[in-house]
Amino acid sequence: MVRQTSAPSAGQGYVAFDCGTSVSRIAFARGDGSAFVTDLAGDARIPSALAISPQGGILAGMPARDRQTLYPHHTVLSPKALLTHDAQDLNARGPFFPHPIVSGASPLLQLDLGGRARSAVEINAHFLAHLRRMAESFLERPVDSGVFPVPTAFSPFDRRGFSLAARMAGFQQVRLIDEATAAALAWIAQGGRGRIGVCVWGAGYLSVAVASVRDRLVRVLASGGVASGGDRIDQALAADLLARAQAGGPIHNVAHVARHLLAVAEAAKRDLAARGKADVGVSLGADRPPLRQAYTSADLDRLIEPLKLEATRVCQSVLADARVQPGDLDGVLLAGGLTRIRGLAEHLSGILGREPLAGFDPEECVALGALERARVLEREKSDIVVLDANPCALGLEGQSGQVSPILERSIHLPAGNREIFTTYLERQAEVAFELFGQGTGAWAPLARVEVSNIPPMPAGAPAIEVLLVIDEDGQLSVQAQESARSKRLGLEVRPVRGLPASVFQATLEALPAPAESSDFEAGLREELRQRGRFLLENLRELSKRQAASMTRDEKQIIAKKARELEEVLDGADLVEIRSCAQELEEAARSLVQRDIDASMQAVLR
Amino acid sequence: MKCWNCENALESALLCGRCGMPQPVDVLGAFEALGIPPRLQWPAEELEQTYERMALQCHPDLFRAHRDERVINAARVAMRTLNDSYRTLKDRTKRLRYVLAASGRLAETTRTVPAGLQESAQIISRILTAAEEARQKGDREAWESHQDHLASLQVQAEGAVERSRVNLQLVEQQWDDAVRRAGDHWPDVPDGWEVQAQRWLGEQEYLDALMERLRAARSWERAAAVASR
Repeated sequence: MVRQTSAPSAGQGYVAFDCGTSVSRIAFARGDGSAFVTDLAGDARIPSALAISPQGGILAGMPARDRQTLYPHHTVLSPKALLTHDAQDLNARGPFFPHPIVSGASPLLQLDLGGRARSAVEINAHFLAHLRRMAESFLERPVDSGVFPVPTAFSPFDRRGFSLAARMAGFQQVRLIDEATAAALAWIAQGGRGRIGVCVWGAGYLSVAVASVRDRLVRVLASGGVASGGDRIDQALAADLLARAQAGGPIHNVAHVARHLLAVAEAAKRDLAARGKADVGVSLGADRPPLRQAYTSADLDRLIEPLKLEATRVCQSVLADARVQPGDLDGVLLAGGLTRIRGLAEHLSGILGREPLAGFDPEECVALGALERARVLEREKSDIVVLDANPCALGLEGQSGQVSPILERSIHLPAGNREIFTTYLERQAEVAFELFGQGTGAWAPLARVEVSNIPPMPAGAPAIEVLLVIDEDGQLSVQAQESARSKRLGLEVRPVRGLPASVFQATLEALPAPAESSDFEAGLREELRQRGRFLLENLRELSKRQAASMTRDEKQIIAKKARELEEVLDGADLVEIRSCAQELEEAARSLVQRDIDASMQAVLR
Repeated sequence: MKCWNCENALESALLCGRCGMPQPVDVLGAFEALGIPPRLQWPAEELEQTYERMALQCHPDLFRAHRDERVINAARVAMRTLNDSYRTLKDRTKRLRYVLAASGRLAETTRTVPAGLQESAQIISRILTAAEEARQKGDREAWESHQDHLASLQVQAEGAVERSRVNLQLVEQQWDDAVRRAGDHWPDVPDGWEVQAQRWLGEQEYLDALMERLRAARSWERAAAVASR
């Protein structure tokens, strides 16, 4: 007999990890309110970047981003997007995607990174591990339960890949939530009721949902998404700048220049959004005039046209599925950095028929909404119950060649359906079928399902029942059984994009068991020590290299802070180690920046 | 059926009346899952309220504090069954199809063109295809040129929907009478009922598909969303 359990033990609370395409945020509950994990500099925005050196050393977040121009081949930007982009898309980006793609039989993207082939899932795992360690270090407790918002455009298999990455990163409890649903939860937490339309538009993805909130029940009526975002604008601007630079003469170190131009383009995009103009000046080395280019709001308008068309298609589809007319909504919430571009925000408001709600930080509300979900997962009683909608219809090809749905779009999750298959040859041992998926576009093949080990029977005799279930996180599970016999059937699911089911299962089972919590403190201390030692070593080298540019005061204060850190480094006081490391980083900040600038000059020449 | 948790005899299939635990049942009749008699006539609002009321009792979110996976899994299965059942029953056409299938009387029903539309069926198909093609090519002028004709076809179709609804209502009423006579339980199929039921089901499915196509063809934006599929 199960009794109500007591409150969750300390240190086991869920933390929300919003891994955006370009920026990640980690939100946690503090009393009744919320707060964000910040890095040593106090910044809550963690760049989604991962660097793996040929020797296997790993850097993530801001340190990786800072070095991206120096080591473009080793630094991956937007690891999450690797789960949905295919090799063709990425190769088409030319020097802007300098990572060699390993072509092989695997349907999962593999890059040659850090000395060997690494899959998109593994790369995401490294980045998520970094975020987990950041959270543990900040909160001073183990963090092994996470809520992760994912784009609506993620297929059931993309979601599974992402959740495997989280498990590989050491998370024991992994819950996914659709990012548009998460943003809606942020609105509901502020007292929102009625029908709301939500758009989350960041660097990589657009996610749209319509939800109805009445009393304690939140019903997502429809959702849809597409893999298209601000990165497109950055790419277009950077490609334009590269073409102009190349017009003035051949460029050496194209990958480095391209990466630098991407950063410049992103800044230009922000300027265009904020001020309506951007003046770009890029140094191309000492022997060439700098590249100067002025962009105007007309350029931005041109760049956002294709994005507007995508938005129209997705929003129309979601409104139609939800059976809601524009103007029927009680509120419209725009989230994600891209909605800061007024042209796009106005376009979205226009389609949804309402001005957007004020009072929500577009870049924070997905993380805060995911945190609301985390609260529900922790509490004894629930204030709200969320019925999410299926963003991707599943279908089978009929006799006529037309695909018809077996699990429609926008139905409430969890949902399931059974299909019966049979054989057409005597003693046929295997049956296979193609599973199709449809989001806001056309039907497309999603996975191939192979049932084997069918007991020998006359043609048409076996009744193979396949149960397909989409769970609340949007992940798909498939089971097969043959009704007449109890013999176990073999089952393999091969997605068009993602890991085959057997590989996924084997990887999951091979993951190491969770570390004992008593080792936690020791592990954390060791990690901080490593970082401290790395910092001291790095600064020693840097000071030698930049000796000429350092003032006497600067030399003195850095030496003093370095001594202070050395003294506490082997001690047991985590707070002291952390604060000394912080002070040293502060003191050396401009020195580090000067060193990076100087190295970049050398590279761009 | 006994509750897996407290062994109490279950009255409702998905939820234990005594301990409140959800039951991991997924092989269940749709009406039983919602706890309602197997009638065909249901006002949409009443069904929705029943669904929502049950969702607020079975949903996994209500049981998160239980660290025991069995409870949360039971809630997941119960919620899935509830969702699948509501999905089947909330649409009038699907409801009839389900009752026929569950009674073992579902023949290979093909979509049948209603008597009143038989002459126009070919014309309707031709105009719809022409409008859809114009939309796909982005030819607004050609698309506009079909709109008046489509408008009048829509009026005809709506008339056919009305007439079919009357027939459907008779079929539903006959069934519901049989249900009542059986004390709100699944009845024996009334003699000859399935012939009428299958016929009106065929017409209804044809009309549902036609109205969907017409609605899409009449709206430039909506047609775009559908055409891209």
